[in-house]
Amino acid sequence: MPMIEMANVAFRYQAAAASTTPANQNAGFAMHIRTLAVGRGERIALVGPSGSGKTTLLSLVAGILRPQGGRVQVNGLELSRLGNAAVRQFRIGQVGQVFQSFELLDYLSILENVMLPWYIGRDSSNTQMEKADCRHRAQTLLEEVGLASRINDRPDHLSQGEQQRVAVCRAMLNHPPLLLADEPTGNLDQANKQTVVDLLLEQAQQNDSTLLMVTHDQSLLERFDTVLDIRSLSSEGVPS
Amino acid sequence: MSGAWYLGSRYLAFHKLKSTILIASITLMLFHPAATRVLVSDSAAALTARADRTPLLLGAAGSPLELVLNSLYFHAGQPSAVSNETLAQMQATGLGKFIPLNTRFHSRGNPIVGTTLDYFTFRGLKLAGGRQFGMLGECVLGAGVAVQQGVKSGGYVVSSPETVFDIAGVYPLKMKVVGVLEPSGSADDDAIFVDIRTSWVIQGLGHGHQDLARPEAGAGVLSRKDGVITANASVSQYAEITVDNVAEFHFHGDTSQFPLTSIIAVPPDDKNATLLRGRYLSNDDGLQLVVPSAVLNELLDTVFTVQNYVILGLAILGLATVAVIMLVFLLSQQLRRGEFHTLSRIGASKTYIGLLVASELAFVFVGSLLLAMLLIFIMRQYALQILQTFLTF
Repeated sequence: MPMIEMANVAFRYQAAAASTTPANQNAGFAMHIRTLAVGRGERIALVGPSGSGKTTLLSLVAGILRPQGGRVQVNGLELSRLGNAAVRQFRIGQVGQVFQSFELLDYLSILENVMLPWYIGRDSSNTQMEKADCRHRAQTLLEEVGLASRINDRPDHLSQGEQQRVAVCRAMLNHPPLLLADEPTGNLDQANKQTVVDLLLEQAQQNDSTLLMVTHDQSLLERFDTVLDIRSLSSEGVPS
Repeated sequence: MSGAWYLGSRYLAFHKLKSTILIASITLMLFHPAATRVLVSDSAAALTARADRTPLLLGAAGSPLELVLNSLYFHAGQPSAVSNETLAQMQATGLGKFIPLNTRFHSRGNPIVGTTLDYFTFRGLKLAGGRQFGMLGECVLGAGVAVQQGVKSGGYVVSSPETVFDIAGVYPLKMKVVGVLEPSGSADDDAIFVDIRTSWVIQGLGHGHQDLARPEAGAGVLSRKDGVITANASVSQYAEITVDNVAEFHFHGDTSQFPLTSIIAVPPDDKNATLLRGRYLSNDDGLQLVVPSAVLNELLDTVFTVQNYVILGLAILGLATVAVIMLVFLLSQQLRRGEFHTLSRIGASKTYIGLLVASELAFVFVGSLLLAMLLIFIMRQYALQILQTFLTF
């Protein structure tokens, strides 16, 4: 069974939906995906011009956005049939997300930022992990990315490359079978780009996770199993 | 602690200044009206408790409030004096026990209260050490005075002159401390008690000097004529009353006309109290007999009215503060949209985010409430002292 399956997915941003996602200023944007299948453990680079719907695709796969039509199935779960709570549970337990602007919380330490999915999942019983185990897992991840000595620092004390490494650790906390990265190297210099991509690939491989990463950087594409142009999936895909 | 509560606490801890300002604002908003109410009610209770234990008070006609405050708390202005003869007249009625007070003088800021030993029984004051005054020139200290002036039994206190420019006026009298009272939590703690006659000595109505009738006092005699000896300026008065010179102290003039600030009347029952009050219904003789609790309740009625206006004003101010805090809070939620969006994308529900925000509000409000309660508790310990400070003016 593929990790991700999409068929005849239709999505159009409503004004209200657009307002809840400040990253998207695309009210009225519409996309249609005829078919997409991503195998388990596959590492895919998703490319395409700005505004072509790459972030929207990731949001549909993560269950953040719900399509108006068609089917989105991830790891055997058909997201359109799940209720809101189940989708959130799916997102916390099965999806790790890395964002372009890191999105670390400035009032938490590095360690606490990595543990953030646990703090969120705990209140809705979406995680069975004990706090000590979670802490140990977070420390192990931070050790692996060379930030063991910085666990009590604040995010703004780290370089951008280091911050993105913390974000990768946060995404990997729950051993997610699916790792989604939305231009994680967009704000980094060349050296850090390589480091972060190495890290994502390494973590995906260690965890046997499927990696779907949006990128504009041509120099990184050869590192992936598959390069997927979103335009090849979509019958529309341009801002209306 | 749940995840949302933990994150809320971390947010507040990180934004220390913002949290402190918020907590301080809300604390003050809660503290002011509550403190005003507590201060007034506690002070009123303390004031009326002492007044309730003082059945009747006789003094010169004038301000009843000044008479009560001066006689009960030894503060406020000096009311006009009544004569010692009035005391004798009251005693002659047999309608109760009568305790004279003369509160005109001070020693280093502490009132000197001239009275009789009945006062101690009446107020239930007990000695912590030493004995009661027995001889002219002896004094007993309230517990607070002993601490403030650092004096114990066997020590001395000196009365303060009324004015240093009045060379013909009141001279300082050095008084021996023979006893110290147990703390009573009342104005008596800050008073120095002397026999009523000692207060007249302080006032200059009595004095002591060498016996001019003796031959060896010739240098001090200006003239001797028809058995009347006139002293010259070389005769010095004693500034301290001792066992050796106490016999040479004497009063000039008619002691029945000597002054008293007031007289506490303690009738044994309501009937005697009513009879006593009937005798002083008219102010024709320049006297007034007041019920201290009634006088104070009249004052407190005014205070409570003012208090209600103050609390109303503070409540309006509090509402304005809440409005400003809510505005700041809503603006801060706008600034945190990105953070909430991140939490939502990771998997937080709207309820979770609501709980996070609610936890921050709860921490701020509960923290403010606890702080306000602590401040009120601390203030409550000093309510009476604060009131007494006001009364000093």
